[in-house]
Amino acid sequence: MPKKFFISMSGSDRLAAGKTNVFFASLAGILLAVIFAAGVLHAQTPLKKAVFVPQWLPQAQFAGYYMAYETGLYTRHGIDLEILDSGFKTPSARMLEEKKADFVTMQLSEAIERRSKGLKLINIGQVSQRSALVIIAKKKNGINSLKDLNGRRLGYWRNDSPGPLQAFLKKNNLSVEIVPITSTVNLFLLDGIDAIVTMWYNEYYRILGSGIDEEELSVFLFFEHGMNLPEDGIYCLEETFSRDPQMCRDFVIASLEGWASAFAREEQAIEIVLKYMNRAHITANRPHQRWMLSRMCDIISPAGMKRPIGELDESDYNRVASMLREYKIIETIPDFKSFYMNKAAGDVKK
Amino acid sequence: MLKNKKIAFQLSFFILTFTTLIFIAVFAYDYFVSREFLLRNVEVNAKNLTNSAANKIESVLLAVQKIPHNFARMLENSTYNEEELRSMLNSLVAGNPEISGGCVAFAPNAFVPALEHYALYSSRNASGEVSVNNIGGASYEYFYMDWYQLVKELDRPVWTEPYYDEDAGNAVMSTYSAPFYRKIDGKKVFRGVVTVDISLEWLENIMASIKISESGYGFLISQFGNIITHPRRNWIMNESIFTVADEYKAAGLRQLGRRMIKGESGFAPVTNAQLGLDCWIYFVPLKSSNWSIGVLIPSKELFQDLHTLMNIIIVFAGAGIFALFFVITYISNKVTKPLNELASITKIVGAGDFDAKIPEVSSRDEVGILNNSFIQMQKALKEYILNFELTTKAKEKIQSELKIARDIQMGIIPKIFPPFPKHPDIDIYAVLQPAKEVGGDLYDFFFIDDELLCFAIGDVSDKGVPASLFMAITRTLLRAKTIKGMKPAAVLKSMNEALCQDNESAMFVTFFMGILNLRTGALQYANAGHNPPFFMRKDFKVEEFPKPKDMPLGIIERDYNDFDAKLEKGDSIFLFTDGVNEAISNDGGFYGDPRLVAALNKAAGQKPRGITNLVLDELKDFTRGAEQSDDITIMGVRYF
Repeated sequence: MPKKFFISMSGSDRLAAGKTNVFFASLAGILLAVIFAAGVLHAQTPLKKAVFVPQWLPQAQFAGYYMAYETGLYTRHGIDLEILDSGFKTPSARMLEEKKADFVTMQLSEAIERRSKGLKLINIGQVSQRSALVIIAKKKNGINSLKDLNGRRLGYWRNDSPGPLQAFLKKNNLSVEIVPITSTVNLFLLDGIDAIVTMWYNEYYRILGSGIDEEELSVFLFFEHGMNLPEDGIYCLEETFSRDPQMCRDFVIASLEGWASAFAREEQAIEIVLKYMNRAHITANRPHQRWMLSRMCDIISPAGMKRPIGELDESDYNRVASMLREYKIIETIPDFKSFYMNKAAGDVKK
Repeated sequence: MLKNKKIAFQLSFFILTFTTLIFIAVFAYDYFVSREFLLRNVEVNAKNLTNSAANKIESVLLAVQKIPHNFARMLENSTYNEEELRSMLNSLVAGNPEISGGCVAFAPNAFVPALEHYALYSSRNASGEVSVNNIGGASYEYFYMDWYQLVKELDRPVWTEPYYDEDAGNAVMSTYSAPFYRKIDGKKVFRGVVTVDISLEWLENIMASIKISESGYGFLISQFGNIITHPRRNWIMNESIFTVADEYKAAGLRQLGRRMIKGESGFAPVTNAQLGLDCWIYFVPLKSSNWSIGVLIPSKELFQDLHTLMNIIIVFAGAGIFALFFVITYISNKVTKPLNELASITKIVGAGDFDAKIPEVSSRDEVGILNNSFIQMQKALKEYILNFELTTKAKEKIQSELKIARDIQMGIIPKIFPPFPKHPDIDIYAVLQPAKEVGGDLYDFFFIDDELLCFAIGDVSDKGVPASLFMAITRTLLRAKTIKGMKPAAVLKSMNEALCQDNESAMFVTFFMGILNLRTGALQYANAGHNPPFFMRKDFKVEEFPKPKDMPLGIIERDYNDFDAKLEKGDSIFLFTDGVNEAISNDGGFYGDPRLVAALNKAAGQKPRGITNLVLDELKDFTRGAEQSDDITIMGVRYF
């Protein structure tokens, strides 16, 4: 019985990534000064132990954290960090709830849902600024525009919040049959479903890596169709934050520095990610992770973004929360000020 | 440029160039035909190897496929409780050592209505014991696993993508999953799937047994291109043929991968520098699982023998062309050496040394013939030059004699003008221009007594030396026969008799003779066939003498007629030979009487010298340098 599965394959959008790399290289320079100052500051104090759980198995989606860890950024910020793997069995939210993790990453919609349902988590850094959700269909099946999706079978990760997809379908006035799927795009590849809602940075490349050419696909990115929902953010429990706000701040700064460093030194970051993937015994290949890192760069620092990386925009928050309330996933929108307590983004900006 | 090069060079250049071109053409044709031939052979070889491996794999997969199929039929056609199902499943795994696990997974609530998940999984542990467990539950939502969902949604059995099973010692596994149904109200309703897991380790052995060329190898990819077996073990289950193509920017490899996963078979070249690939790949699909086998043969090894052979051919051909160069140089030198010598000797001969020795050539080829011809030519030239010298000497002698003859001829006609300074009542001017050194024309004038002036003009029927002799005789006869008191006709008759005697050469002379009485102006004349002269009256009128009725002198003995005319003071007489009015221009036209009359009109009133010169000038203009065809004689007589 399959206990494992492929998570992988190729791609390229290095031009866009290249431009942001320049930005991140300079940002990395500024951050290095901060790191140095922080390092000196923490040199005397003993390291604080902390556990971090990203929301999924190791891959370039978390390259920034692995990079920060491997290059000693957390240590320099006074944190003795342990990174645990996530996955089906140990979702990061549960790890947080069970206090097995101090810091986790989570999608914004999931976090709002959890908080509204009583888990006292707070966002201390919004890493992703853009939705990576994408609907992919094959042109050969007659799908060339969004309206062609009407009446079609659409695969959707059953563990994901239904909100974003419902909102997208409503906004674009689409009626589809949703087929819950998990873990592979094989049903889509074998035409068991007409389209698949999935991640631009991940499964899109897996489809290309299964021998389907880009020209054969119709691709509808959520953020290009009026549905920009920021995703991955850094979360901790309120109590962790009250107990040690400094550590929370340091963790976020170190993580954002890790991201800047990963974008500036792409190949090194990919090498590190592959190491973690191999350690976790999951299928891994370089071109897929390179594609993923480039797309993460587009998501974390979209071209033209004014605010510093790591900051959660209140209007983004309200849009996601309103959407959740509309689909009755939550009843009330949690207060933004008590949900978002980023003390780091401002510092990074300085 | 080549035209200026030596024959040896030209021969070498053209022959070697064309030989090389022919060689290249033959070589290229041979190479490509051999290459195609070789490729077809290797393709057949690769095809046999690959098909053989494919058949071996298929026989295993097909055998495995039967197990869940049979089990599914059994489930469809019988009733069973959980206990019986567990027992059946246990036997399934225990009785089929090639499978490591088997599963019956029911659709939601299909087996136990109260239970959403129900999936019994039977597996063999490391010590060979088989156990059966229910693996379904909220924590294992098998409805969404490929082995269940693909079968259900596609409504057909599937081989799942191969995967690593950590529990089975990190073996690469694949699961074959077949649906089973239940008939409800006559309708076939999906009830679940039966699966078997097999380790794919044996695949490696089969693939490793594919040996072709020195380092050729086989590899296996899944229906999505994922690498199942490959000598680079870290690619297995990590890379697909497409990610490898992406990483190494090998577009050709991607195209090949697409053909492979489409179930095509074929033989195609793939090259990629980054990957160090330059090979041919034969590929064939496995129908049962939609996987595809590729067999890779490095081009270098594929064409190694051909390239070795071609290299040898190139070396031989190179040596051959080199040798050919020397042969051509030798032959052309052999041919051109006597030619060069001949050329040098010819220069010497050309410079006048006709005794220069031309070397003998023993061969009878074209060069030998040319050489002999030269020797013959040298002899002929020598003789010719000798003859030429003699002839030239003779000719020079004749020339000099002719010159003397001319002087003599010119000496016998009066040439001092004005001839009679003591006679102011008469003016005479005359010109004689022979067409050759000596001519047959003549003129003469002399006083018979104080009053009577005799003047005459004549034209012998031929030109040259014979004519000049005849002219001299005629002139001598004129002087001898003109006796005071005789009329012109009598003189002519007497001259004619003398000329007719022994005239074996049948020559004759036209002759005009006049006797002018200077005191009275009375003119007596006779005309033996000569062009009638013109009167040029003092009042500027030009009149032609009457046409002659009498025959020229020297033809037959006969009488001649006298005529009378009268000259007034100031009148002139213009006498000429047919060299004037029959002068020929460049375009073949005659000068003619009308032009002559016009010229005389123009010259009216002038003295004889003036008239003569004017007519000569006109003739010169008319003939424009054309060779003079006949002797020209003009004489003007003016009476005062």
